[in-house]
Amino acid sequence: MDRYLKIALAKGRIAIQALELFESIGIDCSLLKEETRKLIVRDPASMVEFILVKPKDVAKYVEQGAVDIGVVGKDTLLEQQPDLYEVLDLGIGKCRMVVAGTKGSVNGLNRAVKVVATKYPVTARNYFRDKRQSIQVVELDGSVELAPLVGLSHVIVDLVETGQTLKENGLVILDEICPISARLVVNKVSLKMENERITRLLKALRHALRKAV
Amino acid sequence: MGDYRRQVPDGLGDILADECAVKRTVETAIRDVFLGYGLREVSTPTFEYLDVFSTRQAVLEQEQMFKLTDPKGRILVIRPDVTIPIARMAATNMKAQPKPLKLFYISDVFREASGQREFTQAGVEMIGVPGIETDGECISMAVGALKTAGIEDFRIDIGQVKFFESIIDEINITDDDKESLRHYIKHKNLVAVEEFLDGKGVNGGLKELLLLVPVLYGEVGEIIKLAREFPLNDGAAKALVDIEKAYQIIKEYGYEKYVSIDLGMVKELSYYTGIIFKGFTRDLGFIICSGGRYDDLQQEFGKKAPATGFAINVNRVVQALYKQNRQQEYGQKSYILVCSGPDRKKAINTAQRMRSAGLYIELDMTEANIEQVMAYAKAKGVKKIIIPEEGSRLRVVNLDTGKQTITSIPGIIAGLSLDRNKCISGWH
Repeated sequence: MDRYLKIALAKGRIAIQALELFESIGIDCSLLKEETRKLIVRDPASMVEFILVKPKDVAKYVEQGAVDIGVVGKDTLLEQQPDLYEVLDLGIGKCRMVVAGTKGSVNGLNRAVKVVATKYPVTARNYFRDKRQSIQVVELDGSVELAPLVGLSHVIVDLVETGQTLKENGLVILDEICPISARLVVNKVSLKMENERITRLLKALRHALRKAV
Repeated sequence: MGDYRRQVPDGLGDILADECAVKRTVETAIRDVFLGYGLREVSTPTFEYLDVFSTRQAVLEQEQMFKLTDPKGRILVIRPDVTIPIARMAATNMKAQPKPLKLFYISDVFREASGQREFTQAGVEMIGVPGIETDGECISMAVGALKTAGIEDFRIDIGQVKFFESIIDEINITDDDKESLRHYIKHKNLVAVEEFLDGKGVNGGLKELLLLVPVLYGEVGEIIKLAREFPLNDGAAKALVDIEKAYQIIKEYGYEKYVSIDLGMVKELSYYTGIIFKGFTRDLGFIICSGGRYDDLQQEFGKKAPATGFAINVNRVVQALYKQNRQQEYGQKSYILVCSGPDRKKAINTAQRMRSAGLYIELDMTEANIEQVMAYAKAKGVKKIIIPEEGSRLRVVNLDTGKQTITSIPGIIAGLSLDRNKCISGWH
């Protein structure tokens, strides 16, 4: 076991919950919690190396084999459709991908071409394609809820956790596309070449998740 | 408009001299392995009609292919794949030749995709061979080629598409649903598989088996034994027998330590009909070779004929060699011969004699001083400089050791064959 098992994490709320999960199965993550500047942190006892990246980049690191394992939101997987193994639902970072709009935008849904504002253009296109509806996508970087309010789009496709932001802006959920949560993903070659260690890790995580429920 | 004079398009790239030498060495090694199995090399056109790639067995999406139009308005595509053109070639121009056709190619292919848009494939196509023994031979050949190319610590996973396909035939679902399930199994997404099966009301042993399929990978005998603990239908049971037969051949070659099984490998290319396999290595997160049986492709171009084959991604192999620090160093056979002053004719004569013996002799006619020649040689990776002396004597300066020796043409040639033996034993 001369090689570190590399795990990519996105900084933020999900990482904190994921680290608790990793700690519960005996991987020392204390360095990650205190040192905030370092992007690579190792636990020599368990031979695990954590790499901190941007949420949107996790799947790329895993797919290209720069790391063996990643923790990534299902929303990002739906959007990027990377070629990797999606082996475990970590049950953290739970929310929903929805279509939302103003109460009046139900009318918008009946138009020949709907304008959809979103941070998730692929997900939006796939959803409306399955519904046999033509759309025009306006890709935004944030505060997507604004778009229907100022007439930039008819509806939005976005992540919703509690629905509070939508409510405060007078928007309603028109349809739920799918539930979202953080997933453990594994590089296709790593799962085979590091089979023993990864299988052991998966088993421990599954066990911990079952206990948590 | 941008100025692209100094740029190359994304996904394409120059291959500089050192890497190019490594790549050609790999290609030559693989070619020798294929020739050793009695295969013949063929080559297909760089572009062909789009129709060739648009049959029912088409595997490439139209957005993956680079297209041109010819003067008559017909659409051509730049070779996106070699298996399909060889199927066309076998069914048309090679129709009269005795079967089986055992062919190989080393060709560049072009695909509109992220990452590599141009790469070299070294591949094998065995056409007119129904027996599973040939699948076993193909896998053994792939092992031999990767070994000879110098890859360390690699593995090939075998599967059989009919294992999974036969199992899902037991569920009454639409083709779209089957595709979804295939997608979940391919990504080993157990959560989605379970949700899907619950949604379709699949229960009991069948559900248990389908949930196990994604994790049925590992040592061949063990996994087959595990799979057989379930009541399998005829198709799935036969798929396992196929794998055992192929594995037997691999064992007879003594290559079993390179091979494992993954029953969760599903049909990714629509033309696969039987055994499929994928090769990968340590330090590289990508597949380096893949192949399988495709019994229904030939009939798209003529008569039905069973076939099996595979392709090695040469660029990925080169990448792996660099990562594993196994790339063969340039300069074993290379010398710079200082050639100046009144003795030029003698130097040229010396160079010619050594070239006939297979050495790489670069003449330095710049009248530069010896320090400058040495600096140039070092930067280029040439290890030895030859300075002609009195009569037929040659002074050889070894830049690695700093040692100087007085020798002759036969002396240098004899020394090289010693070096070469050393190098080959270290290489394999």
